[in-house]
Amino acid sequence: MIETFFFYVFSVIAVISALMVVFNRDPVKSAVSLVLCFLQVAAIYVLLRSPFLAAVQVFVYVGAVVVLFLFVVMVLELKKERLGEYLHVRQKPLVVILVLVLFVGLGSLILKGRIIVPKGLYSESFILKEGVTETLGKLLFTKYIFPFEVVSLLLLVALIGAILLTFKKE
Amino acid sequence: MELNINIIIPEIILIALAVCLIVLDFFITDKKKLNTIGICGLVIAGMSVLLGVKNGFALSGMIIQDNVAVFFKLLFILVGIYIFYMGRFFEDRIKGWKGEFYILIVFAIIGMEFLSSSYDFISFYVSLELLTITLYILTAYTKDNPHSVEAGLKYLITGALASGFLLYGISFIYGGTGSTGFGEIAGILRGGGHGLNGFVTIGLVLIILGLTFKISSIPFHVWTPDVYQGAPTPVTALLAAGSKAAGFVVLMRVLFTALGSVKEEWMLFIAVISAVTLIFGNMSAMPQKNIKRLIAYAGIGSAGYLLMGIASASVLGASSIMFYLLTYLFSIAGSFLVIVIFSHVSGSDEIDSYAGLSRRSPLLAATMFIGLLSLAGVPPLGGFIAKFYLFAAVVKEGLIWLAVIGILMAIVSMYYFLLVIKRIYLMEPVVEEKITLEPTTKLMLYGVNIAIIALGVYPGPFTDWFVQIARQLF
Repeated sequence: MIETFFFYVFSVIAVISALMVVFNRDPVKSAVSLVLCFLQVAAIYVLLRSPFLAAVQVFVYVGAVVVLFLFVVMVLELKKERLGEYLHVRQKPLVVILVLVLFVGLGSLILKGRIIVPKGLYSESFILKEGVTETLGKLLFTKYIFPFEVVSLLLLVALIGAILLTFKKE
Repeated sequence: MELNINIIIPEIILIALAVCLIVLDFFITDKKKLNTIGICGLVIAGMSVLLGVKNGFALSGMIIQDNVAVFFKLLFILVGIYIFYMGRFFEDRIKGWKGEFYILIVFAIIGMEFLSSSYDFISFYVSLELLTITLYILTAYTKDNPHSVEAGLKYLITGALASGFLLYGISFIYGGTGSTGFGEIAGILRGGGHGLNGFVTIGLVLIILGLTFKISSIPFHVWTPDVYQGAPTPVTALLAAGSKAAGFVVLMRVLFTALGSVKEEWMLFIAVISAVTLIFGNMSAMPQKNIKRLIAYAGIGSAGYLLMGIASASVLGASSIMFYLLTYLFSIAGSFLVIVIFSHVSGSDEIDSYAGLSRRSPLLAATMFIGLLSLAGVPPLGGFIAKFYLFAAVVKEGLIWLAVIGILMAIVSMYYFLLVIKRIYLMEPVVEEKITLEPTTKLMLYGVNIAIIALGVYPGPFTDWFVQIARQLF
């Protein structure tokens, strides 16, 4: 009961802060709202009995990614975002209608949705016995070894790309 | 489940090739040598696909090796060889050319190969991102050219949005079925009763929408013209022939294999997307002045044709998709080889500059002629047979209105391709100078033309084989 209450508190704050990221014209305020959003997600991970993921979320996203954003904002001296001035004004009603259709469509389908399949192997008692980090580590190196390795290739590509696109020969 | 690492030997060879190229790039100053090594590596990987790889599952069910995967892997390696060869001509035009281009192409091929044998949403998603992120970098590769950078940025933003749709959809499917493996999802949905609920429907719609980005169809088609025009020409060919085929193989696996038992839910949806894409792509191709832009819009139209095969949700549809992709590969490889060579000589991609090409180089003109007419679907070329089978597949499933739209749009596409051909054959050339070709280039061009004609005149063995392997998808 109390968990459900906290779940709703965290989710509502997460959604509101995510909207603030989009609607704020000031990049610094956007980045700070993003921190708030990531922290709420971390809190939801704790509710899901996954303190490891919560810690990673805080370290990587809040600690590293957003700080990088703020550095970029600082170095580039970004002013208020002005993309809105270039948008076609006549398209706005169409966008609003499309978003509403998507919203209503998804909402009605979500209300119809039920989870009937049996719950997975990783129940609360299992995790308490084995430990979250151990379970996660074992899974990453057994069942999910393929995605794990492909992600390492992906990082290599991203590294090459970042150097390639920013490097200037003097 | 066991590891079965020998199933991904071709990909391991390709990864080794990529790493070798990274190291060799430091020592070899003549990048054409790097290119040759790359082509050799691709050929070896292709041989290893043909020989010695058994069918089955690998890496705890994340990867499947079946004949569909074998066909697509060979297709991607063929694409890779053509792109590498185009790179040789493109190289000379770019100042400060770097060997990383070839490395990234190899990584893109690896991504496509993994995509074609993914059997789980997680392995599918990471392979897709490997491919897509490599393509973002390749699109913006000629960073001195503002068009290329603009194209890269547009591709990145649309791609990120589409990825969001895709991930959201995957999470709904996982929520509804409790599994990410294609086989397991199919089993749960076939289990009856509770099969389809709201979550699966949402997941289905969002995944289809997310994948339309890869195949460049409505509603995520907007990037196509700008990216095709702005990207380096070999990359455009990779996007057209490789990335689109990769999108279709996963679409087939997700829709036919994993969600095949609920096909009533998505058949009409796909048919509508297909019809809108057909009309939009072919109509917008008509006023284009730039050949790459023209092929981009025609490519949106092609995505519409290929979606007809998905909409039919049958073995015939799946096999005709494979046939279409094979002929499409040859048409794209031929015409883009001509575009690269021609822009190397004349420095222009405008359709008007192609005037009188037949007098400057009959072989280039003939390749363009055959390639474009095959894209338009003129008998007796491969493209005609491919379209014919697609129409047959949708008519068989009762979607006659879709076939009618397809035929009308085929006539429209004939019009804008013939406009290009008219310039090539009937107009007077501005520059009279002959274009000389290397012997290997001639060989490549002859190979492409013979392949297109052979697929059109004698499609029997291929269609039989495709029907046979398409059964494995269902």
